Amino acid sequence: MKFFLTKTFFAPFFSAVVLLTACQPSDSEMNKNPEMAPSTPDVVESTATITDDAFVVDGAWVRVGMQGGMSAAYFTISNGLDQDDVLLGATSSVAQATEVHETYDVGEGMMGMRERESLPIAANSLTEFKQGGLHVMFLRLTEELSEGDEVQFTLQFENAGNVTVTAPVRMR
Amino acid sequence: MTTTSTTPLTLPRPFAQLLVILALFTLSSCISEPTESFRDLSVTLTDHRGQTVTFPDDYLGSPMIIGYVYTNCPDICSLITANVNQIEGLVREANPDLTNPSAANQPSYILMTFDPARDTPEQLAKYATSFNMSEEPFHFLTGDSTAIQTVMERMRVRTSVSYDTVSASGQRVYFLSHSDKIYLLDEDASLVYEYGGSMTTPTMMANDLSNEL
Repeated sequence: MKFFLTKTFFAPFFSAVVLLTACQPSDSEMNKNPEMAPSTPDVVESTATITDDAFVVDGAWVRVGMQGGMSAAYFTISNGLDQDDVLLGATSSVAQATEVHETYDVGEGMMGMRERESLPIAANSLTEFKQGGLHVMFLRLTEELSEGDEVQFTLQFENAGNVTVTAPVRMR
Repeated sequence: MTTTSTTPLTLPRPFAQLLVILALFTLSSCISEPTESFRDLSVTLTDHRGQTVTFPDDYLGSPMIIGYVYTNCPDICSLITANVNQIEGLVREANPDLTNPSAANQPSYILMTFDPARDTPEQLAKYATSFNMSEEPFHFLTGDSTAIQTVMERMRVRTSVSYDTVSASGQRVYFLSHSDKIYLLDEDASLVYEYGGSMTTPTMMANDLSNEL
């Protein structure tokens, strides 16, 4: 035991330990870092561009859902006007309640959701509603939504007024 | 005056001994890399067909893809479910012998709920149907709250109640914040990869699964 307490042993030994602790298996070795993977190319290629003097909602689609369950609508708001706007809410007959929500990282490795009761839409901007982010949520669907169906919902803007959107139902 | 290399260190003896022991322990964990295994979970759950199953025992022998969801989640969980669906399609395309759902090396594609209070087998059956995933090799699992909690704790899926309210009709409405995960397990229920469930491309996960076949 005395030998281990000499500098002959200790200095190189602890240097080795410090280097070797790098080979301790960590969670991340089995964790495929999502940043390294390309982001899910799930949304149809958005060809949305801002058209001058136009306020357009396009690229809309709605996820499949069961009757009584939840679903979500995704789209792009293209505000080509020089005026800011605000999305105040959304309505639809396809669900008992329709709200504007946002998925976000709540911390501690968890994703959560929060309602956005008035969402600023800046002048000359594109606002994307997509998976993992902003979405219009349909709570308690009044009917099952299957691939190939069509859904109508209305977005309520402070300045642009009511914009009614017709969207196809898709799996992804 | 030079210090000879055999000059003793002046450390309290028990402390020094502890350091040596810790160092040896650290070294030993470098020699064998432990793989996280879920084989011993042996938890009784129910699938969306109403059948009692034991997880992961009933699914051993082939790799498993497991996504963690709850059916009242409109955004992330639907994407996880759709991703698992797409992984199955891609793996089947790459391995034509898997076209037969009863093929010997058919992987299991499992969606497990962390909201067993609302996600009954009947609810999961409706959910599965809306994604065209009600047939083999898909399995939507639920169970009693203790069983589900055991699995989620072991598999490091965290949940937290958010947005807890009562609807106009007196129904409790709540949402859950939750980990965003898909796991790839091998045929012995050992962890191969842990993915961000909604953030990882199905193509990559399908390739990893094919490599396990």
